[in-house]
Amino acid sequence: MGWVKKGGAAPVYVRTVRVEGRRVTEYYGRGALARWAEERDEKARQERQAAQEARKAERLALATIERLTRDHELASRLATDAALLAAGYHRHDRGEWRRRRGQ
Amino acid sequence: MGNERGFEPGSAEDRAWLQALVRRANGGDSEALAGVREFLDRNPQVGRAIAGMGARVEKAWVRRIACDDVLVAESLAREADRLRAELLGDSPTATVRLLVDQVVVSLLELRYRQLEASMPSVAAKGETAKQAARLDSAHRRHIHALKTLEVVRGLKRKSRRAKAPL
Repeated sequence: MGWVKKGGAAPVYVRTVRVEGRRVTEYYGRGALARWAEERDEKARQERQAAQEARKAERLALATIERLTRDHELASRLATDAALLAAGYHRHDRGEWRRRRGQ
Repeated sequence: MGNERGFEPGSAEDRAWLQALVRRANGGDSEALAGVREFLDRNPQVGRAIAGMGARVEKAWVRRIACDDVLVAESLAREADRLRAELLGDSPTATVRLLVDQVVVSLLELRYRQLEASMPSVAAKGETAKQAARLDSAHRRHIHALKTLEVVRGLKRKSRRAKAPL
């Protein structure tokens, strides 16, 4: 979509839309209707861009929380494992925690 | 590493160092086991630091679930506090506190995933299956946190001469 120049004439505003699966070109001329169509398209483009940026920010925010959650989970698990090992336990092949012999 | 400047649980490098030490100690390496004990002696602040991480993550999930709804945020925070108090019981050890925090955080993440999965209309194409997988994963992590807490409590009950408090 946009202003299109043909031959020596002044540019006209056109939009390409899909109608029943086919691409159709809409001509809005040069006057007020053309300017209206241009403003409407620009507004829609800005809204799409804003929505896209909002979705991206949302995804980044969620990814940050997920990363912090995994970090916390791992740190907790390591601290727990360290405490259990220091207390004389061990875990064979991710099985149960058991007292080491002689401890 | 962690012993020179103090272990930072938020540091991936420090966690990797401890993970390697724990793995060797668990495999029977007596030197590594001594290293684990020394680590715990030299880093008494680790429990508090991890608790701090947990508190930040907890707040983040509460904000995420509640969006801008103050009432929902307050309700969630109270639910988390109630669960924590119930699970901590009397005289919880540092390890039990860590595990209880893990249960609370995993429950909040599970709540979020349940909410996410309940809104199929806003899911993009192909996202529904991913949401279901994330929900399943959150559910498993929560169950694992509960089981680990129960295991540690069970070991504490069985233990007669614990070298270090669990």
